[in-house]
Amino acid sequence: MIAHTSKPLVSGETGRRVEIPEGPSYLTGGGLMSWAFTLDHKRIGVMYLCGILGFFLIGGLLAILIRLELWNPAADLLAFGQGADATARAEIAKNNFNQVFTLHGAIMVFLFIIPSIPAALGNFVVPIMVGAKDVAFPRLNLASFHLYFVGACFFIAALLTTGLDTGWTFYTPYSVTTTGPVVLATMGVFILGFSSIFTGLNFIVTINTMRPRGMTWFRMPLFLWSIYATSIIQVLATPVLAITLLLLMTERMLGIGIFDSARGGDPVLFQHFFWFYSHPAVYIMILPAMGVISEVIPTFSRKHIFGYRFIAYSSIAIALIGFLVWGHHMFTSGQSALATAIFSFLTFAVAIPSAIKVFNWLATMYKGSIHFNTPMCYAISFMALFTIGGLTGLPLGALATDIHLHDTYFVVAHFHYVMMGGTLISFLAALFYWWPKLFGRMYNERFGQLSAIIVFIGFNLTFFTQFILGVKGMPRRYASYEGSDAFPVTPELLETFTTLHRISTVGALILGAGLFIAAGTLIASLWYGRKAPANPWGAATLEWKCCSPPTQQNFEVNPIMGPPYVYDDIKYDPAIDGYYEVVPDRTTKPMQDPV
Amino acid sequence: MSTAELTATTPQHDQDHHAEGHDHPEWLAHHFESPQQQTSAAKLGVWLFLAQEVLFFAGLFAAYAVYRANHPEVFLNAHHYLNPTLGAFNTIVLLASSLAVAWGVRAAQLNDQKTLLWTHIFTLACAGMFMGVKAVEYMYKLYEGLYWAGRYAPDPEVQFGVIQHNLVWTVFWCMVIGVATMGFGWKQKSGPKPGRGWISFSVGAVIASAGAGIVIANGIQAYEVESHMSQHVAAAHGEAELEGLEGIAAAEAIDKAAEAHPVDEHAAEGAEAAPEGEAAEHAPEAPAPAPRVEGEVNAGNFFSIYFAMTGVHALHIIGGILAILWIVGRIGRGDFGPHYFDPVEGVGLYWHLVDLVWIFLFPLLYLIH
Repeated sequence: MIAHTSKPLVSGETGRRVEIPEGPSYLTGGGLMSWAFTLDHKRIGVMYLCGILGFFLIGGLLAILIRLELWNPAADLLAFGQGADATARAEIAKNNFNQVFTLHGAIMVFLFIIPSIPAALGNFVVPIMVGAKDVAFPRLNLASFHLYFVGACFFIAALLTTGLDTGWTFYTPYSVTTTGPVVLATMGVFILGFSSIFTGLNFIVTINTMRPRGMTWFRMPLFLWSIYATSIIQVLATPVLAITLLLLMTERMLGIGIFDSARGGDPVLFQHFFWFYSHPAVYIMILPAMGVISEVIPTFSRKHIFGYRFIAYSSIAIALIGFLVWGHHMFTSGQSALATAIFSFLTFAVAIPSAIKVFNWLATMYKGSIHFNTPMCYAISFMALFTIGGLTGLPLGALATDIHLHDTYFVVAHFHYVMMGGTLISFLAALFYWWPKLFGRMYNERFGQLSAIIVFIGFNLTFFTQFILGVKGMPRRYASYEGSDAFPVTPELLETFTTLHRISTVGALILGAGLFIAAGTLIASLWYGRKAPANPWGAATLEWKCCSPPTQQNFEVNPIMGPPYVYDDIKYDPAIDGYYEVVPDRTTKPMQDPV
Repeated sequence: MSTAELTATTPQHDQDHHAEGHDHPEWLAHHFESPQQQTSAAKLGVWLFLAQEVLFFAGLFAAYAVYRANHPEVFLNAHHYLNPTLGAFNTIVLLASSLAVAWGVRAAQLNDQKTLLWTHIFTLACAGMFMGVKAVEYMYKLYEGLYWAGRYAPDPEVQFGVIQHNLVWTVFWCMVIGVATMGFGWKQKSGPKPGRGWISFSVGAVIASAGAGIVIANGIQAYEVESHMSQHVAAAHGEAELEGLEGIAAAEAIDKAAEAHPVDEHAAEGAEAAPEGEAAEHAPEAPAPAPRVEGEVNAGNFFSIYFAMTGVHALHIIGGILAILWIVGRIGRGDFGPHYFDPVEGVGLYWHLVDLVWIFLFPLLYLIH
């Protein structure tokens, strides 16, 4: 039933105004235990959000340490006052540097980026977007959060015992012989992997079986398409990493001899297995981000998304092709020439669906009525940064250039442009976009926009310099760039390196400041923010058709299911500074998306 | 937008999960609208879970493929240490259990509670027997020093008396504990909690049939050792008189002599020094063993893959046993009938997958020619 009152319509057309009843928020009631063992997808999403943001903070601080160490050419900062002997100090600093970048990578990848959009915001948004009360398997959902917690504990243990210095990739044979807590960390990743698998499984089943009548595949919000594609990868790729890490653990504990060359094992096999998951994993990271952008752009352009089917299919295409390109991480590992050529070709093929998305977003904005709210600022920032990140992937995917660029800062810059300039920026867009729905408070728009601009500037300062560093030959994962016999550095080159590293470090601090402004803006809104209306942005997807924050059941009355990107009947009401929906006085309107 | 296309979510103003006043059966979760929706969700969920299981095993199969393609001779030699008769016996046991599970689903659809229950108990007994046979295989492997690569140290002088002695006691305790647990469960099932009684009974059945599996496997193994002298022992004694395999056996003898040295560079690394590792102390009277080449691939690498594959598979069998025990408990409680048997079907599907993996493992590991 559609509840409606005789409240006046603002813009003078005839019709009924859809009222959204308020109810007790999902946040109310229950103590700590009722949160820890809740089956409510929204609470689970919020708990994920807290965990993920905590690890983002840790990972970010580690990143700052990396940048500070690189301020000077010599390895000096991370020696932490160990004696006076310069050589010994440098040695200690280098060891610590290895641990810092390893933990930065592993924490950011496994504990932050992979679960960020799907597990935290996806858990909150996906069921509401399909108009359901919950995900298909609420208990499994809770189990996956508990697994995340346990895996995180393993990581904290590895962090506290120190000495993990393999890089986040755990390459054998080094990871078999090093003394660090590799088993702890890999066990953590193993457990986190199952958390990820269960989340993905839940989303696939939810989207397949719980859509309301009328929501056909091609009337789904595009966020659901991208989450669906992500979930396919999570379910099919993660188990390969699980078995790989299980074998790595047995390698370390029992000496099983499958990956350790000293025992007749095959280290390149490990790399194949590892990247069979970890390349699709970067699509696990970027696809949900693309889904968020596909929601934010039409909402703030007040215009139907351009090329809906192309965006939907390109999500699936990226997921499928993404499974076939893992070998491009191993061009220098001694694959056959034929394999490298094929992997190179397929890598170029991924660029096509990615570009399709970017052009469709741009076309959506074209002649739209663009509102520069914070999520939109982040979304535009995403498009710029993701485009740079994507295009710089091509020289790395091309065989000849990759030989020069492999394992240099060019690679670091490329994947940070995609992972951070893409996923993180999009995560922030999503966080600002859904924040009113999550907590029922409006944040300060000016501060939000400011944070977007500062993050954009800081980010480019940090990572654009690293492209230049990489082309000039600065290898990644080096604590010092003074030069040595194996790594000769001329004085001019040293000067260039130093300048660029310092710009990058300054950029990192600016970026950090921008992120703190964003965090402060959001946190302050919880105390000082205006109460959010049900639909503050005028979006047309279902999650804006329940009150903010939603009740435990999500919908007190049945929402009206319409095409997700048609804004004709969604009107602005200055009294609530939000939007409401009108059921116009006309008998028929064909329920069709404009093509 | 405004086509009044409504979602079918029922308005609910109470926060009760099983709200009164609308006909949700007890087994229908509150967030599903209909039994059909719940069943299709459950089925899709199980199939997706199986998909990730397949990919989990795929890593091991890929490792197998790579090693076998690169070192076919190692596999050809090494597989002679496996006993195809035991593998075949286990294959039959698992196939029978799969049949029983499928039969059980059919029984649920027909509301034949008795058949539903006993098919699942039969399945559990088969699973226990499988594990018993596997235990015997592992015992013999480890006793002969046929470890994985890092510890590979075959002992040509192995005497099987001790292992027989140990197994006798294992069987004895399996039987005693298993039968006692079965009896306890049998009594308990007529009490207030029949489900628990049937679980106890089934646990007993698993343990007892594991004992039976040990007896059978040991019988087969002992018979083969008596009648053929296990090939590698023969080879080590220089009596390679096996039909058509002289060449291979002789090659093995040389291999073995070369490999009779345990690799001790890594012995101290992270692992507790296992006493079995010392097995190679009894140096054979064969020619002086050549030092092992660092990084070479030998039969130990075959056993790495053998143990990884069969070990992970055995873990899945144990997981399956736990899942079926849960099902048996719910059957005993009378939870399932023609209208609701999603869990029975789901666990059944999982069990078929475990069976299917073994169907692939058996020829890949035991039947290399």
